[in-house]
Amino acid sequence: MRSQSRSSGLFAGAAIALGALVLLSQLPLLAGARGQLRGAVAPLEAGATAVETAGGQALSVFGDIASLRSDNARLSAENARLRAQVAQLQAAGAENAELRRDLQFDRSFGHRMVAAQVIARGPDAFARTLTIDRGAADGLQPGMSVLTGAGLVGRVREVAAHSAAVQTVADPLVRVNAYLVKSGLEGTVSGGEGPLRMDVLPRADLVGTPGEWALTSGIGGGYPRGIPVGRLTRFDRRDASTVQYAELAWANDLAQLNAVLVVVDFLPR
Amino acid sequence: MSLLAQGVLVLGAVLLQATLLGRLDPALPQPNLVLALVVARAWLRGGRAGLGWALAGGLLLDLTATGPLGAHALALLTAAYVAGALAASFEHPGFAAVAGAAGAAVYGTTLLALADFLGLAQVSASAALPLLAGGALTASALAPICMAVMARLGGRRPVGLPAW
Repeated sequence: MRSQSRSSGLFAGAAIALGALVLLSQLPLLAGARGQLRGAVAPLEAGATAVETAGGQALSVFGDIASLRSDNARLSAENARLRAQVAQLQAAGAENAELRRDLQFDRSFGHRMVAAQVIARGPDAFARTLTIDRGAADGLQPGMSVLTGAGLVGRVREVAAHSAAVQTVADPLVRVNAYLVKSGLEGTVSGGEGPLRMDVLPRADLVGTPGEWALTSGIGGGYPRGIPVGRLTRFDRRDASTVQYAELAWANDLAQLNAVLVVVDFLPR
Repeated sequence: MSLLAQGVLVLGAVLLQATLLGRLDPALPQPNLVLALVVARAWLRGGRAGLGWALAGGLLLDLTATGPLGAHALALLTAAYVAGALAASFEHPGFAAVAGAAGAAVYGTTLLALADFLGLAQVSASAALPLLAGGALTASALAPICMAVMARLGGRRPVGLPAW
């Protein structure tokens, strides 16, 4: 009985110590140290990714897998580029009138960007994150937007000297303000298990249509306006509800992301 | 198993989790190898034995993710505790999958509760339930496999296992 009590005390002690670590590590004062600590494991992650890549390539030598994979990657990249182009054209039509009215319009694209390699991914479904091989030494800061040619990936959360942690749109804790380019409906996109979810603010007689693109709205100042987030796959209209619900297919595929772009001249307001 | 071998196993599992397993389609439930190993260790050797793996694996997982340090370690600690308690109460190997599912459920609940408590996210039931169900499903499949492999390498679990 005494042994059991001592053991429960050990569990309670460890839990309290970890709880204190959780709270302490959230202090803004320790944000830099936290980033540096995470940066210390980045070389290990980069090494493991290199081994994984080399292993995959070695295996693919034994068949046509390599060429099929290469074709698939090329076609996927082409497809992503075309999808992004469609989204931009849709957005261009909707925004043209606005651009004419406002010569001071801050263009969504044309930002200065830094390319980075993905060296690790989040450990579980509760942290859909990426670690990239660029950090403070390359001008990265927490809050900067991360994207690819296909669309928004997420936002830099923590920065070490030569690596950074990116919280992706698919992370259950992320919220992105977005709008649908054809209908003009606005809402908030969130990640989690399955497709992206968009809570849409209803407007009379307006519905989202499948295939329509959702772009960052720039509301809240978290992301530049006009970056593709995902394409509408389902719109659930509920007349009695104050919020309508939509599902989006994310513009990016977390499993296929190997390189990203960090927008270094835009920080959240 | 020597301390060094245990360290290498946990580190290897964390790196595998952060690279290869992280590549899986996010629309599908993602298996958590570190969680499965911690649950397997607690099932085979008791909750106290799972503690070391939970702390080491959890702190390493924290370094591969964003968010507060210690969150994954605390979540794995609770999973080890629950798996240890179940291991002490049930001898039948069929309960190994239950221990995996229960461990994953408390693991996920701890992480979501911390995120909510720290103001990192407003966690809704509709968002949390698929995550918890997916985690429990994959852990209930993966934990028994880990247990079988570890029992083969390190010996069967002793009779009258302590809960902690």
